[in-house]
Amino acid sequence: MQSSGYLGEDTSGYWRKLLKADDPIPEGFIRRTDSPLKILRPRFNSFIERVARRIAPLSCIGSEDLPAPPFILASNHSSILDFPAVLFCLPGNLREKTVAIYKSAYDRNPFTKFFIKLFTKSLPVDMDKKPWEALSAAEKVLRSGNCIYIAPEGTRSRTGEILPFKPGVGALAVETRSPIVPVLIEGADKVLPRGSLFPKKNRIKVLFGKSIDTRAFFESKRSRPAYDVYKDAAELIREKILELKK
Amino acid sequence: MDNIEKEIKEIVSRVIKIPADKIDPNADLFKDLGVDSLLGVEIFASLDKKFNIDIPENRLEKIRTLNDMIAVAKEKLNAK
Repeated sequence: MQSSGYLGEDTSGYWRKLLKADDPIPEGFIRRTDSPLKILRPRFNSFIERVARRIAPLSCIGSEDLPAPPFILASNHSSILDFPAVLFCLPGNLREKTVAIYKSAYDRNPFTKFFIKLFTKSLPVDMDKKPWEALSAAEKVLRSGNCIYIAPEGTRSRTGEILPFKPGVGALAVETRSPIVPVLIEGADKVLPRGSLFPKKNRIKVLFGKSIDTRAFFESKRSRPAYDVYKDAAELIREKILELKK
Repeated sequence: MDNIEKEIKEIVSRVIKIPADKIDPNADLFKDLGVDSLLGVEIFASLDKKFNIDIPENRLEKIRTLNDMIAVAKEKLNAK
């Protein structure tokens, strides 16, 4: 098949080099994505889960049909409660294996950073300046048999509409050939909308869709620019989340 | 403008789909021309293919304009 990047040549080798996708995983890599606060996590999360479920009863649909790790969980994003809601829907073994990707700007607030690190394994990302660093780290998380949670809108929606997805999620899925599980979260924005400090009572529903096989996208990079393939993969994930609304 | 500058401008133009004569060499590709960070990587990938230059990661994040790209590409080509 003829290679065809924007210049008519295959650029996927450069992407894989930048993502270090063919390099061995450094010793202790997964351990380093976590924080020493993890020793407090089981009790902290158990307490938070009990309180959260009282304020916001949680319905989990489809979590029993999740594939075996590694895979990517990609959801819409309207509230800081989105990731906790998804995490509380996961079976215990998957909770342990899931690493959340979050915007590195949150680390500017030490209070927020502390709670993120206490709550979950996580990777801060700066998708504006150094997207390859985030994607490279996430690639290693997946390659070592773990799962990634990502909110590909990149920011919380203010209207409830699902914003366009950033192509980074497509790059990650395609380069790792990992299945992606589309996840629709409804109601979290009613409990804790953007700009709000105090939660209101409301039900939260988390719907897990059927996993998307991304291997065909990987193959299609031979005939199309890698960036276009990543964008299409991201758009497909968004469409699958929208379908869960119906 | 020498040949390398022309070629780089042409590559950037083809990747970001903006005519070469409309690209201000000092414009911030990401803020002014709406290039997202991953499309930026695709530009670097294309430069890598065309000139066989290996731009180290720590330089990539500092490249913001067409002129930055030209400067780095020339530096790398001269070092060959």
